[in-house]
Amino acid sequence: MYEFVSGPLALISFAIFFVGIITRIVWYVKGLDWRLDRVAYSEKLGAGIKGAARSLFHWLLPLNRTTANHPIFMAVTYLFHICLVLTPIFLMAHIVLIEESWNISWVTIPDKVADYMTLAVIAAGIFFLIRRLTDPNVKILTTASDYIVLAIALAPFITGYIAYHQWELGAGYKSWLIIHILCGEIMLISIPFTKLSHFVLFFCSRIQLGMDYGIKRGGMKGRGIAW
Amino acid sequence: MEKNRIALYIAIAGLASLFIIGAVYAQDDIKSLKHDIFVERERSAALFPHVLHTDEAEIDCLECHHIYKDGENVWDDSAETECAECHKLEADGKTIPLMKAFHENCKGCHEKEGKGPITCGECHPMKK
Amino acid sequence: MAQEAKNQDLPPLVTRKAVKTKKELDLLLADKGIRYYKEMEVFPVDTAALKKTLDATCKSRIRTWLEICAHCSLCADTCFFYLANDNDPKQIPSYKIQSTLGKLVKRKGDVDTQFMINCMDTAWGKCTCCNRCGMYCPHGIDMGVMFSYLRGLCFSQGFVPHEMKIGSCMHWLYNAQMDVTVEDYVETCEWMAEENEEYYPGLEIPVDKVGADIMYVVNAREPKHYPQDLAEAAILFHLAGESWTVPSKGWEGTSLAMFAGDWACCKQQVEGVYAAMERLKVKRYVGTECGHQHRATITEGPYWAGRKNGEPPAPGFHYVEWVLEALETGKLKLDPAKKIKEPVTLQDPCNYIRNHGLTDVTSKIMSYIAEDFRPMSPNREHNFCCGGGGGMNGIGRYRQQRNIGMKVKRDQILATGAKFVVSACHNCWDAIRDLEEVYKIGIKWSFLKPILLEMAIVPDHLKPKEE
Repeated sequence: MYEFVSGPLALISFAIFFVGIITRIVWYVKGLDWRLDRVAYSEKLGAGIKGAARSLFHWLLPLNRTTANHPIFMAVTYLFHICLVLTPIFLMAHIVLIEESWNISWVTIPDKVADYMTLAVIAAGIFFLIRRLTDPNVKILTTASDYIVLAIALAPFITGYIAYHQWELGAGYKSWLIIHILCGEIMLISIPFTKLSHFVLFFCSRIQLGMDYGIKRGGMKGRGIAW
Repeated sequence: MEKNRIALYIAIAGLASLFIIGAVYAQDDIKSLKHDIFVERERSAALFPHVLHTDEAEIDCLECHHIYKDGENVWDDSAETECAECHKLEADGKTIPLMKAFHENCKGCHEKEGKGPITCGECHPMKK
Repeated sequence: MAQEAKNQDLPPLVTRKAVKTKKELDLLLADKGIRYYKEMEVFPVDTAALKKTLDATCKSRIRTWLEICAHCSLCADTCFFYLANDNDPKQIPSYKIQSTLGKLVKRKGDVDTQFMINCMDTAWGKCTCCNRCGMYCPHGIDMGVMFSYLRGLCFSQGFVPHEMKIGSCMHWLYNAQMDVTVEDYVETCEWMAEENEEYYPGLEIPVDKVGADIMYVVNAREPKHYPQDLAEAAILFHLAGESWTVPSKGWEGTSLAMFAGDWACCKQQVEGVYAAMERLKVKRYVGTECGHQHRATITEGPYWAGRKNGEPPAPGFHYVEWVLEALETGKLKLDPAKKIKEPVTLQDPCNYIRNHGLTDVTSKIMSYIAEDFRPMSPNREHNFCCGGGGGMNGIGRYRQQRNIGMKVKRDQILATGAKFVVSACHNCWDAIRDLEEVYKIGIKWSFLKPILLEMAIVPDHLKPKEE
């Protein structure tokens, strides 16, 4: 079982993930239409790139008014996303497996740090969950898929934590490890098909709006507005 | 009363014998691959019951122990047995780094033979 | 029953097509919306056509926005309707768009009449397309853009507020938002020039002067209801020594068609203005103190007209841009002694701020005309909609919603301590006037032109000769 989930199934998952997100990006860009969107994307490419860069700069870093207005929520959100993306990519155990399979490797973070980052993801996830269950503003927007997506995102971290610490918890180490790998694969496969597609579509959307403002909505006039 | 006392002696003797058997067994077994060159370890030293490999699995010494001369493994009992003598922490262009050597040697064989542990935690247990 | 039979004899008021004839327009005007909304209650949705439109026009940008919305509610407090309605979750921009356009797209247009009426009541009654929420969404989701798109879908199905239907019809018939013909307009120009020539010798309102530097384009309300505004504009150009003209055909720059979502009409409207630019070979366009006119003719218009570079034939400027330039270059000199002494605040309209980046222009003008300028908080690109934008001011069905929405602007004004509000936008001006009528907070309001005229220094050579 371990050989299967860490071997062929992992390969299939990565393939679906990469093909999926590339397809989403291509579909997004192909769907842009200067007339329908009313943005001269190609004619004013220079101004558009400037606007897109400005938009990404202000939102990848906490240099925006939403962060100023909602500092706690945004701090948790930034932490959640940073840890969620960096932990699996730089976790030593993952790199060892990748090196054994494809003979490539890169820097790793100490297990101790990864451990705290995992806890940060889980804690932030619980914060989001509680907020969804209690805040009337979030409640009215929440659909079943929001919970499912949150569960998909958190599962690899919770099971990873259990497996790393070799807690028995009924199933035993090896079962938890297999469950962890499966959860990671479910997440990878889900990214192109669910709201998790914002993994790439966030960039598409921000770049598009940045271009809109950079080209049409005053980017070429005045001091430019950061969105 | 008498019965209880006998039971207690048996229990003590049983436990003690476990330790004695363990001590005898351990004398000539290497239990883990604890090498000092791993200064900053992320994981505990890998468990390695040597006797299990030699006596029960009857694996030839040369499967693991090696000194190559002209493409031939010339290792014997009298030669160096300390892996870290040749395999260093970082790749030096001549030998595979020590961690990789262990992973490839142990896990590679376990996978090939379909026997023995291959997941991280089975060799590197968490210190409790 | 008798009533129904009677109604059946009359031509229907609710139609999927834009109204383009005087006869239909008169019927609509006479109805005042009573039969109109009753008809709408039972007006069927052409789901096949709706699906076709969605397939053709709802592309990756909007579909992605709808899909990746994280339902995080960060947009809630960016919307003045949410704030004014005591933080009602049903006023969260994300909720408003997901429950209308979101469902519409998910159901591929398979929706019923009640659903479409709810879409209409949300797109026009709970959103002014001020685009503020889009500035605060971490994913860059602009719900104002989506509501504008939804308005277009609603219009194509006949689910459009009564006044908006009339508005687009006016543009079809008169190329103006009101029943002002080219002849009416030219006549008004002549009249205003004559009226004021006595005080400003040589004053003229040149109509169709080929090769002028500036082509000045107005809002139909000005010739129709406030002709003095036209005279003020003329005098200020005159004092600044500008070479300018007004076009006969193509004289009006507003677009209720944009508020209505009648895109074909938007195209016709701006093409009239662009034709005038090309006919008169002007160096640039200056529009009057109107926010949505600037957005329609300069920001969005080039795209409706199919201009690939997104620019009108002549560079487009809002009136405030011309004023600041005239003040900074000294073309127009103001008497510093006449600066407004009392505290003054500024209502900056969304349409030239968030939709054209003129964030600091009017604030800079304020330093020339006011001794105690008190900006609202938040201001510039973060300013709130006046409460009457996007056509809201004109729609009777949503009057109550609008009056509630204006509370945010009321409180912003009160917080400045100023009792005088300047705004370079007709919609904002109206909203602030109505705000005073509803809430009676004791404020006055003004466009820039009368203030500037009051302070302008008349150069000696332009002064009337003493008898």
